[in-house]
Amino acid sequence: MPQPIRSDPSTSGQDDRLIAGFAALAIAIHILEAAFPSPLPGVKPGLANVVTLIVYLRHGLQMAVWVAAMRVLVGSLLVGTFLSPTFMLSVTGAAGALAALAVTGRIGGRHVGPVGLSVVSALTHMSGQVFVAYHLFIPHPALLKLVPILLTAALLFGTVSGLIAANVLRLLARPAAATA
Amino acid sequence: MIKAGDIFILILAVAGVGATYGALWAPRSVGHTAVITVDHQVVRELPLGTDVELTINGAIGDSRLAVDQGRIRFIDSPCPGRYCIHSGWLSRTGQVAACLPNGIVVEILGEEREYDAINL
Amino acid sequence: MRRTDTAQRGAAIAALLIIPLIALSGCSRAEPETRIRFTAMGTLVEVTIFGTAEQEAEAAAREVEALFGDLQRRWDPWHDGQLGRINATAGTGQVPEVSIELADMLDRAAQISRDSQGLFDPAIGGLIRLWGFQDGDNPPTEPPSATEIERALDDSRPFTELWDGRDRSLRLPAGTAIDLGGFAKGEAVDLAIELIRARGITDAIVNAGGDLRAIGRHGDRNWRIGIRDPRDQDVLAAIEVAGDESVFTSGDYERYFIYDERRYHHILDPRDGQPSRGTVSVTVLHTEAALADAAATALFVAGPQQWEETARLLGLDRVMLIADSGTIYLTPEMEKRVRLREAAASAVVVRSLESH
Repeated sequence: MPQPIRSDPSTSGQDDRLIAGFAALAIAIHILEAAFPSPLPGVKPGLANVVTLIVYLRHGLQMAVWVAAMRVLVGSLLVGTFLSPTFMLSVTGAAGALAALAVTGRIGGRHVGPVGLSVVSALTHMSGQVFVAYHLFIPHPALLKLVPILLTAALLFGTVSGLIAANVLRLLARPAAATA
Repeated sequence: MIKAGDIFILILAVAGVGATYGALWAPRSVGHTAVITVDHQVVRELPLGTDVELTINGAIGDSRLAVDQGRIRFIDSPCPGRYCIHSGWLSRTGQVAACLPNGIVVEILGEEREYDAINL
Repeated sequence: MRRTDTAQRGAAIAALLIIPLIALSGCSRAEPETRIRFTAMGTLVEVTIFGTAEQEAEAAAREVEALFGDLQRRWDPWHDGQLGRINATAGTGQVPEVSIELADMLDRAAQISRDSQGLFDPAIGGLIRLWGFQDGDNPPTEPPSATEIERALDDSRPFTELWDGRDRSLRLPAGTAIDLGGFAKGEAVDLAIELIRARGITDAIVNAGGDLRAIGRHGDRNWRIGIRDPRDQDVLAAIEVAGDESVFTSGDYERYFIYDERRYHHILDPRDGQPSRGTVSVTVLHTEAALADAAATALFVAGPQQWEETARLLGLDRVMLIADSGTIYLTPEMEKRVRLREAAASAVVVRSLESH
């Protein structure tokens, strides 16, 4: 199992394993997404953002950034898309989602939960990818026609992811809930 | 599990995404590209998204065209009649302006044309 | 594991949602429509053919192009084609040679001239040349003097006097000239449609500088024609055409110049040699393009006062006349056919063409 980077000395050993597990999960989802058909090559729904969100809510922004970076790098290496257009789209998507999480988390504070954070980060993720896709790869008007649909999908995904994340966090917070 | 801020975000998001339908699914008869021909041979295909001015060389000299906010028009031409300039701004699929003495024709391409032909 | 399971379910549902949406928004069906454009008779001609293989459609369109080029040469009043040589005999006493096709055409032109009580007159070539409207690319910049106009009027004769329908010959005194301008485009369009039909094509539009004849339909819908507003770039009225119909418009904006803040356009009134006043444009719907062309000219000259009588005499029922005042006159049949834009509705006056 890969050793997590110890940037926060207060993190317990169990959390270390959890974070590593999350990273692995995120990578797995990333690979899974690569297998899915997509309306635009490389533009992904961002399912792995669920993991990023959970890590962010449980362990803070820095850990979330780490897990996301791991996911994008290792995931692309394993799938074989490292430094490809798909990779750039992944990076943009992940970066956008993280930025959105950070900003929304800071502004919203207590009033915003996993669902809200997830929706914002999913929309940012998708918008970022579309932006890069349009300007760098396919500057064709037909792409613009797909945008409303892609955004709607992102909105739905974001809501579902948020609910999933909320449930997961609840499970993890139960005192007796021990995950090996 | 769901907080006030979440609801707020959801409402904004739904409104925002809905708006993109309105904005991007505009009538398909609005053109996106101008095709410019000289002597009926295509010389330029110009996306209407970028504002630009350009010069096209024709049979009797240079005609100048301008693209502005999704529309295109002749702004100067060496012909005596200047009918091309009087044609004004073109933006809808199928619209055409021509400087016949200079052999230059500009046509708007789009997804759907509102009319198969224009009578004038 | 439940987490991945839910995630996978979520992904599957999303995929099920997205894929049909993508399919719905998908690319437009490629329709077998061919459009060929060329320049002829001083204008842009566009041939649109629907439902025929591209190669065949293109071949037909190129044949139409060749036809137009040929007719242009033949019917040019001032150069070396048939009509040009005919006009060159004016004042020489020579009887010019007139081909059978041209004689047929002149017969029909004479009939229209009679029916329109001389408002359509193909013998005003001398006046047109005086004004300088014979060259579409080089419009004149100032009007001729009153004296010059009077002299040209004195020289000219009504076409029906010059054309002998019985022995099918012309006698042109000095200063007269035949200019088929208000008729030739329509005639060319008719011949082009005939040519297209002869090739077995049933759905097409031949559009010569905005005046057109459409046959058949656009697949499973009618042809949609937009009539442009005489003063701006917008479409003033929409019409659907199916079967076989011509749409011809004469307007004061086609060939004109502004002098001393006044507009001088190319549709001259044969009675006074001046651009006809009172009308901005006339649109005629009729099966035959040649008649529609000549009629649009005649009705323009007839103006808001006389157009109903002229339309009746010419046997038309679908006419729209836009007057200087902004009033849009329609026959009842025309009112049924056109869909005017919102703002124009208040300017409409329907006139029934019945004799009063």
